[in-house]
Amino acid sequence: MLPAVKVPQQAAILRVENLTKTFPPNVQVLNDIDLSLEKGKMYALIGENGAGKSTLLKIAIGLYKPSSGRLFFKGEEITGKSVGENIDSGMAMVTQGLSLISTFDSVENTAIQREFSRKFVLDLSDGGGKLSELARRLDFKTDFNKKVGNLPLEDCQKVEVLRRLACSVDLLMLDEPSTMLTPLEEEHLLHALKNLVAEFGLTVVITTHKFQNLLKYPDEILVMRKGAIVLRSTVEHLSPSDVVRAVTGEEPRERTKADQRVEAAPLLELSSLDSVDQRSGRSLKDISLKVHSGELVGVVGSAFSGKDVLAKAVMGMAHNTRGSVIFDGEDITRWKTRQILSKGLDCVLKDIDLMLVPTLSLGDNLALNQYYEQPFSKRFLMNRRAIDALAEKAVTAFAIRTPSIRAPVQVLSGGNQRKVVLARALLKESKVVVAEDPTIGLDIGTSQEVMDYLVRLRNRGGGVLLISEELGDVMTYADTIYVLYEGTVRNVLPASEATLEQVGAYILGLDKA
Amino acid sequence: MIDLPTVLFVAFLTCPPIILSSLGMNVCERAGEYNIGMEGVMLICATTTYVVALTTSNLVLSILVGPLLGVAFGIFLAVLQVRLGANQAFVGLGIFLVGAGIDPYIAHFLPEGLMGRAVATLPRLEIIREPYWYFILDQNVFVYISLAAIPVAWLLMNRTFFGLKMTATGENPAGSDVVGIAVFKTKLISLVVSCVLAGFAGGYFVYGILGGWIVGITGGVGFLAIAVVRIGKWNPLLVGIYSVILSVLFSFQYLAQIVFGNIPGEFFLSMSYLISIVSVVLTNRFGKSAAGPAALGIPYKRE
Amino acid sequence: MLAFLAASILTYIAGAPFLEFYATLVRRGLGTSVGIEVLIALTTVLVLTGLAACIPFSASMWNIGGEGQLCMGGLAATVALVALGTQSICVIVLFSMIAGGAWALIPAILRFKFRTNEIVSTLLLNFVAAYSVLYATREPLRLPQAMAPQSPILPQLFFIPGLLAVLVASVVVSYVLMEKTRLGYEIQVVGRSPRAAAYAGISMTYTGALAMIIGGAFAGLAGAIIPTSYLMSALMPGFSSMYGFVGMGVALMARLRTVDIPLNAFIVALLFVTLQFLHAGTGIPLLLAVAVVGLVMIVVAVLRRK
Repeated sequence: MLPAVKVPQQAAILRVENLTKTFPPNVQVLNDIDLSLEKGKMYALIGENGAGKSTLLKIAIGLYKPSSGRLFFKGEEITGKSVGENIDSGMAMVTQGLSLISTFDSVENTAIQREFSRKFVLDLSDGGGKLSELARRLDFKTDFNKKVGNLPLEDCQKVEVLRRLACSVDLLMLDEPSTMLTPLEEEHLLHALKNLVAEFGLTVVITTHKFQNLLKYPDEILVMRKGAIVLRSTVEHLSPSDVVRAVTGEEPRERTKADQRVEAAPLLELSSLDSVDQRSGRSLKDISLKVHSGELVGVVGSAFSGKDVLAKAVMGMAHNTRGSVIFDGEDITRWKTRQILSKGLDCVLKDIDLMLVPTLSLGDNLALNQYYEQPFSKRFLMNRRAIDALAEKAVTAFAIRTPSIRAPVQVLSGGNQRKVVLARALLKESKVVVAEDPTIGLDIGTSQEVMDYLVRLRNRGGGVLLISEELGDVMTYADTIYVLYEGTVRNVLPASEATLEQVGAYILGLDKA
Repeated sequence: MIDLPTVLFVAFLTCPPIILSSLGMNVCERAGEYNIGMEGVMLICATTTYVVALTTSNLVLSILVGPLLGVAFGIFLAVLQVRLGANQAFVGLGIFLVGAGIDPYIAHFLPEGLMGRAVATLPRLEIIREPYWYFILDQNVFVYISLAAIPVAWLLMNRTFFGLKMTATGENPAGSDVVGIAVFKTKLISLVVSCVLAGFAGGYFVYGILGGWIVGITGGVGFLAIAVVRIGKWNPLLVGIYSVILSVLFSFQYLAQIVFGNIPGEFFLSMSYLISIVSVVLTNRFGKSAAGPAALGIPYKRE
Repeated sequence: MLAFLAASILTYIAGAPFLEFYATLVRRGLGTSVGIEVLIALTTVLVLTGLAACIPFSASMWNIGGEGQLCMGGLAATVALVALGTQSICVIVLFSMIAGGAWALIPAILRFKFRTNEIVSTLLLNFVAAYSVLYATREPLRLPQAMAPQSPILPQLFFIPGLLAVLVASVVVSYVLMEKTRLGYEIQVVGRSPRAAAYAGISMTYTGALAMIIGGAFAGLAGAIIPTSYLMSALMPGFSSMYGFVGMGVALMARLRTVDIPLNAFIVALLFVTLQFLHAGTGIPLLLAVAVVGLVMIVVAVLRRK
């Protein structure tokens, strides 16, 4: 770890002291952070999901209140101030979701910001004028009178940034602004921002996952992991592998060897699949992937690589537009989830809302994937005893800790909830299980337990498609590793040839470490 | 003698409550808040207005009672829905039940013998006493104010910054929050305005239409407003126009009884509701932005 | 806890009269046979309307049309009794439940085929139903000699045993439905977690529509019971007396659990009966009971925020 960079208090535009943030019930997201940012620089903040980047920025702008600690902006204390007050002092933030009003056009969206909307009667000239001026300066052309909802996503993102810049901003924070931009456009944006930094002393903090541009534009890079800042340095002193290691922070574990590798036809095969998740808008393009019997395939990628669409695409929860998904000889590309489940393909998805009904009991949840089959229901009646028996089996076989069989699933800890989902998939004798971040939020012991079950499935001749953020897991257990980047498969390599640095680099879009 | 001008006269005489309550509903829904209990608010304000009118015989005071109560209700509603984020359907229903239940209770407090007595009504303006045109030019002040409120509401919603911000709050509260729009305050104001308008509407039944009081004097107008807003697609101009049309439909029941003889008045009343439902369905199906404010009814929470 | 809420609010009403409230409750409400009869009848009605709200609510279908479904049920029953001349309870029950269910089916169709918010459609249909009753009692089903519009006197079909039977049967059926049948399971999944329901392959449209129909049927039955029991002797406009809405309050008080509905219905019925007797003495309006229910609803809505 490189030494922290100290910034003298006077030059600091944003200063954070002992900042801690805990969300109920007991989730600590920021851990005693001290930070000082200098005026007139561009900072890049990187880190995995849940590292705390967004939370840090949201506390700075005033959307969240810190659990403890203090914040200072331009030398004055702003702890506990409202968003409006902070914006008036010169802060601005572009959040991950679009904050534009889709039924307004760009001019209106600009004019409703604080700076331009002080009058009573509507007057769009002020905001509109600044907007066009900026657009001209940054060479951005689009129809500002079109409703934002009808603009293409990249234009929306640009309008988002532009309208903030139209105000008098001293500190601009952008949370993953490049999600909807191509690398070229992101470069354009960063270039423009860099000019503004140089010309007006604007300070910019940007969170991103695209490594390419990371080294070119920002002045300093900060890496966050598990709520703390683990690395801070100017770009010259940094090598990509330093960054990778800081971001993932793990030493690879001992690999387990597969007992048998069956080279026969794959159990699950995706061919040139295009898919869109309507809910999140993310998509996959041209995915080709195979899972053989007795194989554990690991899929990794950064937060926006599209890997969160993969599981849904396989399970019939996304919109598959092109290509095919073949399972056990059948084309399931257009099948509904229930059909897919009954064929022996099940999943453990990251989004627990899709998997469990919180207020229903353990047994009820376990039955979700097969309640319509015997013995769980005959005609119209549910066989409660069969469900209870299933619950008992799950509790013993998977060591699920619950106060009682009938207790609603929401009283279980996150880890145990995941075990329930996993139990459900495995107890049904599935042939292939798609596991998406099955160990997220689990302690080491439970993580290992969970992975062991998956490995056992593989050893029995089943297939596992492991889509995970935990590089360590993938490195330890996978037989083959696929790396997704920007929605397509970038690299495929057998685990025997993979090193942590190599894979980490692929994830960030580099060709080698 | 019942003829067209008379019917229209009645229509315009009775239009203020529908107009005002619909506009009120429009306002709060634009900002993303339901006000399902508006009928209850109207009932309480109406009955209280009656009590005040009888006991003080002061017309101005009676007129002001409704909206004043409306302010209190608006704040109360805002605490429940905005601050505490409770389920808006249940809160609204609860308020309606409270309103419907307390309605006769309030009147019960009148001193002996006063109950049922008539009350002064607003005087008519008498601009023209022509036999034909008097339906529109010989109404009380309130009618004219209510009609004027329609374009005013539209102006406020579309030509002021406050109106724009209110729309922003209803469409994307999170996005509005991050650019510094006071989301909670805007929702609060919208609910207060909504209830104040409801207060005016409720009171008008007493001093404008009936000159007296009965239990349940508002007759479901507060619920009708919900449909009217949807038919008008949350545009105050359309909402106002449809309110007037509805008012005309309602008063048609009298005309119809003469012309068509056998068809009962209830038929037209229920037709009005049916037409409203059908209109809502049709505008949903064929209209474009028929979904209304995107975040309607969803309590906004930061964390 | 719920009884406590009820009691605490009961004392609040005593703001007008005083502890006379409790006295009346015991003496008249529970003491007289008339009191008991009305109590049981009303409890049954409220259990039915409570279920009418509870079951659709469990499927996240906001059925605000209990009042209207009740009216249509009562109308159907009256038609059967008067126009068709039947006297059998079974026919009445059938007619009213079908009428109520059909009336609830309309908003369900509107929601799934036309994306119309069911809160709006059920609410407005209430009025259409109420006016239908008004019309019916004015013209076709009118009792000629009566001053105010009403139907001919209807025979009393539901006595204490009948009422208790309906009460118990409806609760048992609902319980079995929700806890033991596939549909009940599906309703619960759809209502509590529509996204997980997608995983399980449960259809929101069918399940939601069925839940609405069942709810409407219960309300319809309540509508048939009102004019043919101790409560009233004929169908007249306004006979629904807000019982449909109050039923929603009961459902909320019972936290949407079928098992808790009878007790809460009883408490509310007791409230109504007491106020009815009180009204005879002091003139305090009966509708106050509705206000109390409303207040409880608000409190529960606040406490039960997810």
